[in-house]
Amino acid sequence: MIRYIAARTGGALAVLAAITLFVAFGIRLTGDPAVALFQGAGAPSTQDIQRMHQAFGTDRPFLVQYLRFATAALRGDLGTSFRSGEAVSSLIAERAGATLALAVGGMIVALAVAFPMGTYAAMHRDALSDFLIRVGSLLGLSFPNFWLGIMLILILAVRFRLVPPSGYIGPVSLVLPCLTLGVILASTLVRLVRASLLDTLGQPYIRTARAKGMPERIVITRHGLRNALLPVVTFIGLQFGGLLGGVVILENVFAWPGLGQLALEAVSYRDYPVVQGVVVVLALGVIAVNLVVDLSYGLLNPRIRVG
Amino acid sequence: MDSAPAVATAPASVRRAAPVGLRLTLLVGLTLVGLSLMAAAAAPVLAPYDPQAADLHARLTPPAWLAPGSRYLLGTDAIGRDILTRIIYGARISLTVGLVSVALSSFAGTALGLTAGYYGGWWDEAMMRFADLQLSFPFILFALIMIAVLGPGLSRIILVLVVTQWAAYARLVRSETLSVKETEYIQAARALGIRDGRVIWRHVLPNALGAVMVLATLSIANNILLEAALTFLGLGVDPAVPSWGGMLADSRNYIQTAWWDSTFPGLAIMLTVMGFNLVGDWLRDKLSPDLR
Repeated sequence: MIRYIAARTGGALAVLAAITLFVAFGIRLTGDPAVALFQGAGAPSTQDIQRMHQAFGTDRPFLVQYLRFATAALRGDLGTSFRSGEAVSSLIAERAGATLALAVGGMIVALAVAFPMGTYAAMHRDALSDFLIRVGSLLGLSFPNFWLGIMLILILAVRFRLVPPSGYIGPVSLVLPCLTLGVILASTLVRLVRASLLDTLGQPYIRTARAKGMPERIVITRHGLRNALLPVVTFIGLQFGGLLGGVVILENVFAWPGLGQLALEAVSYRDYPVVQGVVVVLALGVIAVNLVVDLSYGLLNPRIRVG
Repeated sequence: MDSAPAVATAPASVRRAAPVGLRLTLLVGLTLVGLSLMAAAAAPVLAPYDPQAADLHARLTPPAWLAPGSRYLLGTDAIGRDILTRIIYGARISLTVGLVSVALSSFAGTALGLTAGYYGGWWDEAMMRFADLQLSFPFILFALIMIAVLGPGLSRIILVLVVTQWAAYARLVRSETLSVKETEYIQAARALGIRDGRVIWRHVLPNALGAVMVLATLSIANNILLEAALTFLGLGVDPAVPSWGGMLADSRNYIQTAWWDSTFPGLAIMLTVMGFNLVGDWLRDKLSPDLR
């Protein structure tokens, strides 16, 4: 087990190194931060530009810059923003809560919708209700998430004025973005819960449980859902990177003060340290979720505990 | 918003005869795909107006059934361009991105997966590590940096999609290749001295094609969504070119006053994507039930 975790952690570090190297190199090709900062403030002189490069450290060779960043990052120091002069870690800390709230809220909505509906559909296979649930899930899969966001703003905020359309003015602001994200996630999850539960319910031990007179409710919850959980958990882990993409776009739709917005702004200002910092934090999040998912297999199903 | 559609999901030992809805859903899917292809191919003939023609006296005109006497069926946008016309022209961008990106990434991924699986060794090892890396990179971050470096535009979007998606095909084809490589008929073909290229082409590839087609069809749907999202964020095609994502981005400032401006382009995306999803689902049931 310890060897397994060590190997996985090593792999994760290699991925992280590759991702940061790509991002650090890529963002330096997009343009000069000194020029970007002077935008709209008149033409800077060559000396101004040079002084800024010295201050930013961007006059050094790329590898030196990257190694500086990487060694500092290992100590938890992500550098300072070119634009605001604030520590990148505190900029991220300010925004991370909003992103996390959105991601977790969306996931809760998704689970709350997908499990009951998927179970119901599996228990009434090929009935009208099953067909309708599957059509609904197909519709959800075909929605661009940002358009669903716009439509919900149009209906719930503009037409009926139930919730604020965008921005963050308190917990009620969470409703629209979480609902949007949740519905999109739920449409895939419903299918998966249904398919996975149907698969489990075809197993001999389910027949045995029914044959010995166990109430159907207990059969479904104790034997069915518990075993159907594994593919669902795997999927949630695999989709976490994708979930992130959804979050970045929805933050934009709802003017949500999260990490996605921070990254978009930082890219347009060529604020290298902020871009690198956000990428490190998001990539770490994805890697951590996948690791937890892998380790949770053993808990969910003792048969596949890793040695 | 994921970079590859969820193909590998639950195992399926439970399969029954097609429910009543299946034929119907295929028909609906093909109709939707056909309509969008037709719109893209015959846009200049079908569209009632020029997509760039701005009628400044008719800005934000509601759809015709709400504005008696209006010449614009689905209304106009903020500078008086006909929304129906721009939706018809917008099909060109969505379908070009969807079809070209999938054609290129499935071709590249299949070729790499076939050779990696068939020959094994260092090539296989290198390709699979590379694929792992690609798959663990969150798509949106990758796209953001790539577009920032290369600049926005139709060809750049396609490039980003191909670079991020070849790995899914390579993985899929490699595993199919591994599963047939040791079968007797392939061993027999090799023993007869048939060249590797011919064995791969005649005997290995056909086994993998079904799965590739399913993934490809579902990826068209997914890539249309990704293109619309990137364009919506301003990272996609040129805002001057009529595209569904771009129309939605423009419509955001008028959401309080002109619901039609943000409703119809999204509806166009949804129907097209749903068409490809329906066809893909049908193909999956038909060709490779194990991907269910």
